[in-house]
Amino acid sequence: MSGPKKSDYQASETDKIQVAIAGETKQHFRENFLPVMIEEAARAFGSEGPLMNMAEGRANADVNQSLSANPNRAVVAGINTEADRAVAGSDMLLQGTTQGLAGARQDQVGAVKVANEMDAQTQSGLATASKISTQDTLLDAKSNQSELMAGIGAFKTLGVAAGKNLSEYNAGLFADSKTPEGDPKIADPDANLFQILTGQGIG
Amino acid sequence: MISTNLARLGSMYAGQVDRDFAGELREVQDPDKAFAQILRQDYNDYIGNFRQYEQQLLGMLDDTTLVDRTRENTARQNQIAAEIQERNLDRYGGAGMSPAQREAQRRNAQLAGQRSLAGNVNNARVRQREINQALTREIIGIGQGVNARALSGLATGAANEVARQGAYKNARAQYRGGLMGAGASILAAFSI
Repeated sequence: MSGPKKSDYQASETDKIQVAIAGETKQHFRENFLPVMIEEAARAFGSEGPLMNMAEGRANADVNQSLSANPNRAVVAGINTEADRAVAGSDMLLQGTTQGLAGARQDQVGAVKVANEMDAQTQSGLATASKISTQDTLLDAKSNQSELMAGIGAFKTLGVAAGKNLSEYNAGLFADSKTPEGDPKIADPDANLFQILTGQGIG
Repeated sequence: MISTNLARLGSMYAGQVDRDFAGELREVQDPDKAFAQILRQDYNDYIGNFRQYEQQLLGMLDDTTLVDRTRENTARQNQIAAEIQERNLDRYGGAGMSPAQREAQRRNAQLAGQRSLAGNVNNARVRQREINQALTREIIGIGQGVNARALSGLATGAANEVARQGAYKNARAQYRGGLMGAGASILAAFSI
């Protein structure tokens, strides 16, 4: 009978390839996808002003295009001409600014959500890792405990046998040389303690 | 039927790649350690690359960009409209307007400009509030996820600790029981 071989507990080919592919995929993610996520987050948070500027510019262009389409003397002399232009311009700019800001916010929230999802996956992985680690610790402890209990068991067996041998030796030495079973036992009076405890002191 | 299908798995098929990419992969010696290292690095990457944006987003909850910008834009539009009108009047030689008409036109533009400023800033406040509330809702959603994950992680940690402590207590009790049992048996054997 031989003890367990470490080679019997090695990872299977499926386990090895699964771990290798997962590791490679993770590296692929880090090298190719993570930079895009970082870039997108930087863009989302850096383009709030430009987005509003662009939307305002378009609104401004629309207003001026429509109000300058047919300039003539009557229009210029109109009592509301200047006022209409000012009101239309600022109204449209507000629309543009609002759209630009809302768009920028959506991009920013989206970027943070994506990053947060990555963090969620990390935390879920950490929980799994801590479970694995705890399982490992518990298995180690259980294994040590089994060894210890086996040692105590062996000690108990030896102790009981030694006790029994001592009793028999004493019976042979001091009594009528008979065990409770009636077998004659002869004790060697010169036996040392080791011989007595191991049963060698009785013939 | 299943065995027939499985037997066919070994046969050639269109799109089969002959290069063994999987065979070129490096073997991971200690998956547990590698996993722990990857997770540590992931967390570092997240904090280093994205935490600043989270903080920035949280700082936008009371944003007033729209209101501030509208105030500036409206004043500038009033000025631009006045300058355009000046140029057009020059272009059309005064457009036949008397000074009183021109003054009335200017006064009308100023009144409209001020009304526009007040109205637009109010509208901007409403829209800013909508945008900020939408952001708040998103952040609450994100925050709930963060909180749930944190609690889940703490719960896992606590459960693991309880399991370890429980195992330790059991082991200790078993050890003491074993020792006492062994001692009692040995004493009995020695007939003490």
